Amino acid sequence: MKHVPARKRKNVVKNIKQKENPVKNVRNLTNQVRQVIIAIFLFLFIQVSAQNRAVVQPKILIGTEMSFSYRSNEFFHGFNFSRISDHYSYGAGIKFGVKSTYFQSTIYPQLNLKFTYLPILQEDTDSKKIISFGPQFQLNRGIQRVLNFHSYTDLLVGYEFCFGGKFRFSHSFSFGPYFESFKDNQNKRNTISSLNYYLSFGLNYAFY
Amino acid sequence: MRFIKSIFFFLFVLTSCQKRENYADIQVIGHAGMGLEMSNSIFHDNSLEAIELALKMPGSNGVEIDVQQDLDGELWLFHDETLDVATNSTGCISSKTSEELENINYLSFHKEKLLKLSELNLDTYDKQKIFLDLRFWKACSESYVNPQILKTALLNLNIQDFENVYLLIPSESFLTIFENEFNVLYSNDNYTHCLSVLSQDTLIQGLVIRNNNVNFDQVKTIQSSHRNVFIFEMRSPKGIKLALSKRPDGIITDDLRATIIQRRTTKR
Repeated sequence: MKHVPARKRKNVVKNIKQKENPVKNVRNLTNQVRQVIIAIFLFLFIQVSAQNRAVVQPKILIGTEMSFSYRSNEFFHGFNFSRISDHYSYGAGIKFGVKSTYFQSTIYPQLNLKFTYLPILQEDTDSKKIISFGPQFQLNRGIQRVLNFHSYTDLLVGYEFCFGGKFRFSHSFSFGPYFESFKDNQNKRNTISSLNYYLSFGLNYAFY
Repeated sequence: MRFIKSIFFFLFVLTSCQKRENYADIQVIGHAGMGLEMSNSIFHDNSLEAIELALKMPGSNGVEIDVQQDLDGELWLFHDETLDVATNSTGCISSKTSEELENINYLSFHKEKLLKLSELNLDTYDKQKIFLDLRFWKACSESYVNPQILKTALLNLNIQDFENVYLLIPSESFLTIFENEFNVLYSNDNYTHCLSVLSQDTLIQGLVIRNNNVNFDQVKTIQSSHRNVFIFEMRSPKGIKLALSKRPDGIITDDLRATIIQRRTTKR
């Protein structure tokens, strides 16, 4: 019988256990992916912080945005307006639920307020293109007539990534509590809460 | 200016020609509460929270819930054949005791508890319809539940009025066991087979059939024999619109809000 060192035996057992437990394998993979993402962001942050300098920022951004809301199971499409100062931007927008408004003939508007802090801001001097990345806070308030009126409120925190010159592509992901309020069959007000997330993509035009 | 005026006139003519269909008589029933595996259902299907929300929702006419029997004969609300995917446990409802099942919760955001049918006070929802989808197949032991024991458990629930409670029976051999005491609906995907079962059994109140397996004329044929038709499995606005256009007595929907909206707004 071939002698196998104790340490090697342990590794073999560990490998077999890992093979037997697919959930653990997936968890390990998720951890590895998470570590890679953190490393990339740290690298970017260090790079940008090292070269950070005064960037000529536009004063106003006007654009269109498409976002998906998990809890509403709805795509929202609309317009937004942002004002930019040194390292932060704040803006407002109005969007409409695509499924409800276009396919179900009921207007589902949503007002959106957002504030973004931009610690990572880099400009390419040749092409005058800007890359920005930072945390974002959002407040969404929507209203929809199901049979009575239902109001939806989201308080979200996430990130926003922006890239481009005069035309700028933006992407944001945010999550947070979701509240739905409506009057029930007995005319009593009900509020239910849950967790929601938004995934958004936008195209903006910059006015200097 | 003339061009803009003509566009407005054209739009006005176009919208004024649309006739609103009246679907107010079609009942909207929430599938397993607010819908099955839909993100906007908020709570997990067959949980107390989901069922109460669906019954409170203005415009909703009731809920359809899935009933399974445990080892002690207690009735539980659960959709899947096994507990493995949706809960923090494994195995089947039928192979567990009531005590074991009381400690199980769903793996959802709200961690809702598994619900006993006896915990749902059916008498409080007097104007709402409750559809009990009886699950006879026991996946873990690959056998069928004894329908007589299931019937006894249902009668022991101490429900005052069974008028708004409907049983969904998937097997024709079990229909006769329940139809004298309960409102019974036959649940099957084959329309031709359903038609022959309905023609033989006069006590069956109607049929529950998949949206894709029945058309407008077939619905009318069944309704002409004074039976109800309920259609299920619809998620998109297109699917809901299609189901409404068949004019069944009710639709068991996976998107309760969207169906209530669609019933109100659908145009020809």
